[in-house]
Amino acid sequence: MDRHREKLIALVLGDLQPDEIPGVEAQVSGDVTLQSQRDSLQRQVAAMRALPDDDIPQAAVDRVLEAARHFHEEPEAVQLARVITLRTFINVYLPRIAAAALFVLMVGYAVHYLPAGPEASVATVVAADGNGWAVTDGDLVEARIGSPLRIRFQTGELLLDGGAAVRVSAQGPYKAPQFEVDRGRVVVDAARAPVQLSAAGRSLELEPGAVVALDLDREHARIMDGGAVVEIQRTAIEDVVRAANEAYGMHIDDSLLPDAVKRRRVTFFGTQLGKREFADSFVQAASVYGVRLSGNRLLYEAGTTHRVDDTEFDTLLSVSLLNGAAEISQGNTRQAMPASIAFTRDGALPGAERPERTFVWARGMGNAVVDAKLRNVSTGDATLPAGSVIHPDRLVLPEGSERIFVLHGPDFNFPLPGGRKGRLVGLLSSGAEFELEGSVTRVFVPHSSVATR
Amino acid sequence: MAKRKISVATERVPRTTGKPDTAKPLVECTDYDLLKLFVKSKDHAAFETLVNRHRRQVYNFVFKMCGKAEAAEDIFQETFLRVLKNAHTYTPRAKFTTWCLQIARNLTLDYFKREGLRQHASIDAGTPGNEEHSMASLLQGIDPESHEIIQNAELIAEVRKGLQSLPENQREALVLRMYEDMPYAEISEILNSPEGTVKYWVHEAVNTLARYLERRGLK
Repeated sequence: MDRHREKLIALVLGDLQPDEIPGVEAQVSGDVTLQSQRDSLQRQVAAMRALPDDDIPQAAVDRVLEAARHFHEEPEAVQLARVITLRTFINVYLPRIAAAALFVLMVGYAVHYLPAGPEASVATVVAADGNGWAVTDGDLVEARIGSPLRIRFQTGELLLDGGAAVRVSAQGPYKAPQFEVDRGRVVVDAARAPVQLSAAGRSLELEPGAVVALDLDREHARIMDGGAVVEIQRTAIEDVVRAANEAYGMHIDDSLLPDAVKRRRVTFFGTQLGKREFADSFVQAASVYGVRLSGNRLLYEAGTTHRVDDTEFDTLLSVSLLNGAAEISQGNTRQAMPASIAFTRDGALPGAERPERTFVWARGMGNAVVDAKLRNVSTGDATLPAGSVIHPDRLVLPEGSERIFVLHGPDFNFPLPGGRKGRLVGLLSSGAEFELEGSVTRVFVPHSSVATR
Repeated sequence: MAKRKISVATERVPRTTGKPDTAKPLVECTDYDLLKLFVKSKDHAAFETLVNRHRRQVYNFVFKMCGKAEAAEDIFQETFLRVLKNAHTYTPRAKFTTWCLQIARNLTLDYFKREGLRQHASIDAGTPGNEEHSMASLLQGIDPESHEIIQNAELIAEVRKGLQSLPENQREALVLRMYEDMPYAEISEILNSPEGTVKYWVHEAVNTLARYLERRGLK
């Protein structure tokens, strides 16, 4: 939704602040297109409002009232309605209250002097489909490819992209938990209290109201449930071979590859990949280093390497400050967080990445602050089909080789819902970003969703 | 823009004396008093007053959320049974409407889970055919404030269909805002989400529904 449309909707719904109204009305009165849009919106909102009120049939109400008539016959109602007399209080309740107070004292003593129990919940994880579960101190929360998660804690929230993982540590009852990013992309919203975050040896201290997007791009390989989840990120070819042989029972032989080639790293993400689809994706990813598959043997063809330098590890960690203020530190060095900063193995590169690229995926999570920064990006209603494979430079749909979409290709040829056509402009582990034909709007289509837990 | 009229009685600020005012006619009692009268004094008329006061709002919310009358009736009944069972946990710190709608919402979400209805169908996917022209002819040139359009069953069915296709969080926010006329602060409490997020959901929902109606010819 673009900024003008959002303002028009707010105007039509009566949601604008009083001081905003004259500005928006002036803008509309001077623009015929906006006037037409406003009139359309008014008619459409009127049609929405025209839905009649729905009232419950009297018979259903009567059933509720009938059930209520029997309510006082049940023991719990008797307890609720019991009149507590002074005598009853002294004889019955006072000893119970004393016993309860003693119990509370003992529990308080235990809580104060003993280490916290493993069951203490410090946050709640909520999946995109609304399902949730509790997080206890020390838990590693992992989001699978295609299934972003939100960690809600008392004073803020943290969003994990598909394929990301975060360890959560309790900081006591009155502080936000501490988060250690293990891998992947996260967005942290320290809404009402400071939040501490660490990744790759760096620490971040977010002030209340700060929003930070962070991407820790490190080696990670996971093949789960017979290929239902495939996450291969920056992983050496020899390690991918080992993981594939173990997960799929394949017998891929990499013994003929030179050691330097075996240590080249590949990245691809997919869901619902069978043996063959996995092998195809793997070979496609490794082909840039001159690797091909013959039978079950990986061979190296000198002179066919498309990319000589292994620059994948240039950027290890990138951090963008999207709102508010934060400090970043490494060892004893501490500095105010700039708008964006990237760290390589050799040092820091300020302003290395556009902030919005880091957290486009979070747009669909309904975070108002994130949304405010991404007015021209929307999240698609549909997902990529199961079996789609996301490479760093291309998207492969499951139908076959003719369905390969290259990043920044010239054509608007990706069919989006509603008959629209898009051009692939971004790829993340959790989905693909398309530029719409004839529009400044971009749409993010999430990867096909898989079971979350 | 004209505000919708709602038929639910305005809730009064509950007294903090802890004693229901039995001298007042029931219709003038607060929700809290009615609940206490029922629980402590077994006053069934008090509960009936409470149910009648909130029946339209609760059912309207549930029915617009799930779109099926039978399911909505079941959830409505279960909501008020939960109100009875949990009456002792209700404190006048929260508005009764908020508390009751939270219960109804949880039961509705449970229903979605049970029925596997969480995945909404995309309303972008359909290609408008002849229906576009019929809708267009019905709707063009109609005064937005006119109630004439509500007479058209086809339009009502389209709006209902569009509503059902919205993601749950957007649908909940839109129903509470547009059909229950609730302030964002109260919706935020019911949905347990920040006000800014709720407003965003409402605007997204309106945008999606408006685009949907546009494709059906309402421009």
